[in-house]
Amino acid sequence: MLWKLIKTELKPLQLVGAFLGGFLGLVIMLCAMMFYMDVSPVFDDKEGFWKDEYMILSKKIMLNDTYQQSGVSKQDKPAFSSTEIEEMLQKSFISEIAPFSHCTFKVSAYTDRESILSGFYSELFFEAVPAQYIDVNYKNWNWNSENDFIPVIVPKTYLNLYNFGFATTQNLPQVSEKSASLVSFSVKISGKGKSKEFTARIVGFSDRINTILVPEEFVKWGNKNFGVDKTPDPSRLIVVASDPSDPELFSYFNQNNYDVNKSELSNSKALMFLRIIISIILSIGLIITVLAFWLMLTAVLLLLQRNKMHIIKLKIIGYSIKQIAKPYYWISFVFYASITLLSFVPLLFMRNFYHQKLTLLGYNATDSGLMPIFVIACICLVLMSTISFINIHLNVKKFQ
Amino acid sequence: MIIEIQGLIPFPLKETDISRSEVWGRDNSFNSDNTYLVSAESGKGKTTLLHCIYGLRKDYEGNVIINSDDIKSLSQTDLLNLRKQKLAIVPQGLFLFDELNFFENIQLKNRLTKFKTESQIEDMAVSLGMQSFYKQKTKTLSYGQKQRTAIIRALCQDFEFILLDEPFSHLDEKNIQSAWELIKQEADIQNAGIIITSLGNHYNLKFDKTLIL
Repeated sequence: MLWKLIKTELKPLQLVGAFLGGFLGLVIMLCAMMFYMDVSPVFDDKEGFWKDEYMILSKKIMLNDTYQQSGVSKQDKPAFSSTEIEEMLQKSFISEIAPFSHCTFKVSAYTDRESILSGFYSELFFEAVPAQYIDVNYKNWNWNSENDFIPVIVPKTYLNLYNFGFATTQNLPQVSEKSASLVSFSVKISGKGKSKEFTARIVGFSDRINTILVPEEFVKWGNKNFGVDKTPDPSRLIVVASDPSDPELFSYFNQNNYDVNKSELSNSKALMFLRIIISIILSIGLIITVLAFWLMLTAVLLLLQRNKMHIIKLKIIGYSIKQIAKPYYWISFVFYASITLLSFVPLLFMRNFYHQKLTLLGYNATDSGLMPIFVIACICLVLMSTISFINIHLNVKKFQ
Repeated sequence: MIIEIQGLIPFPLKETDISRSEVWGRDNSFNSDNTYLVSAESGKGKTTLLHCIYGLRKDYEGNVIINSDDIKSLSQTDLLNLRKQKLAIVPQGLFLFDELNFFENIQLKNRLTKFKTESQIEDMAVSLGMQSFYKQKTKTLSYGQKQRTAIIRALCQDFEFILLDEPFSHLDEKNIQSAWELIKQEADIQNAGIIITSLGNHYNLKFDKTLIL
């Protein structure tokens, strides 16, 4: 019966504008959020990019270093002493330091006759860094003394050098990352008058760390049992800056003659641009949604105003504020709920669309986005409904 | 229920001569055991009095006390509850819903209170000669028919007092008699009091007390 009274004053056309606006605004807003949540992990991916704050530090090699190191005196190679590392850690702009440990024993690699690469032999060197700084996701990156197998990570540039330099000019077959990872080879380490053999395989290619990496445990063990120096000072360090844009950081490095190898293409920059663009789109969506919400609220309050006489009469015959307001609550709620639900249709299309694009580009967009978006949409729905309910209640109360 | 009015003077009547009034500016109490006629010429404030008692207007000095609560101090929720459960009214403007038909107007009230069965409503309609107007839009009813509709609607609730503002102004003698009987009967069942306003007692009805405004 109450509905019959309201229906006479209900002008659906007035709501169409608010509906379209709300729909558009919500779609833009939720899309931007979902895209951000789905895509930002791509940028945060350890393997894909390295964070800006990470840099590799070494000591500058001077002209006379070469001379002195090859001379009779055989001066020590430049390395970071523990006091230097201590001092660096004291600085406010440096938050973490991880040393490169290198092996002080001889390493050679070769292949068996049966191998596709038969007859290959090379002297090698190994280095290691703590596992959390490695930009390759390999699950079993560890080693113990009972293990005959050593996982090895080589720089991507090595493979490129071979494929595009060596293989093309020498008429040799090119090797993909995958096929290079399939070939195992033997490693022989020797020192202190003894030697030991291992099998090794390339388990990944690093973009950022320009050395041949093996697990840290292997280097430690090898240095202890075969090396000349059990714990050599590191010649290179991974430094994590608390603020990479701090000018003090670089003046400090210059003063101490440290060489910094910093990634040119920085992901955090790309991520920052992504954030800026997304927040612009987000604000536009938010503004449209707020305006549409306001339009809708006004339309409902206008409807209340047109029904003012009815409301007064209903109060005279004893209807409570809640009972009178109920149909208006429902109109608002159904309106907001249908906008929210409908906005998921284009949202899912969009999601499908960029997932395909990302897959083409070789990224795996995560599926993390949908659930939080649903929660956000529900929060929006509750918020809009609550504001409407309060306004409707106050207006119904006002008329008497 | 006891309705007390203490020194009640509506602001618009302040400037007029109320010295001979038995109501304005004086103390009166209405007891739900009695029937009251408030009689006055036009413009003396009959409707105003009922609106003050019903909590529809607050522009007066003095107090209206219902069961020891000042009506002005009641929250809106309490006031609306009072109307739903204790105070019935047939206002002069009737306040029917023109978009609804006779039966819907009654049901709008009865669904709220769930007080009468459909057959009881039908009995009331028959007794006031409204049975053939069940489906007729209220807009097209005559004023007398509307008055009868408003009376039946007012009876579809619990009440301890029923306020009737010139309820019979457009009814003929026979209809006045049946309407009064219906109201009286319902009030007796509920042990409720009646306050009726009129331009004078032209109805030949018996009241326990008559007040001149």
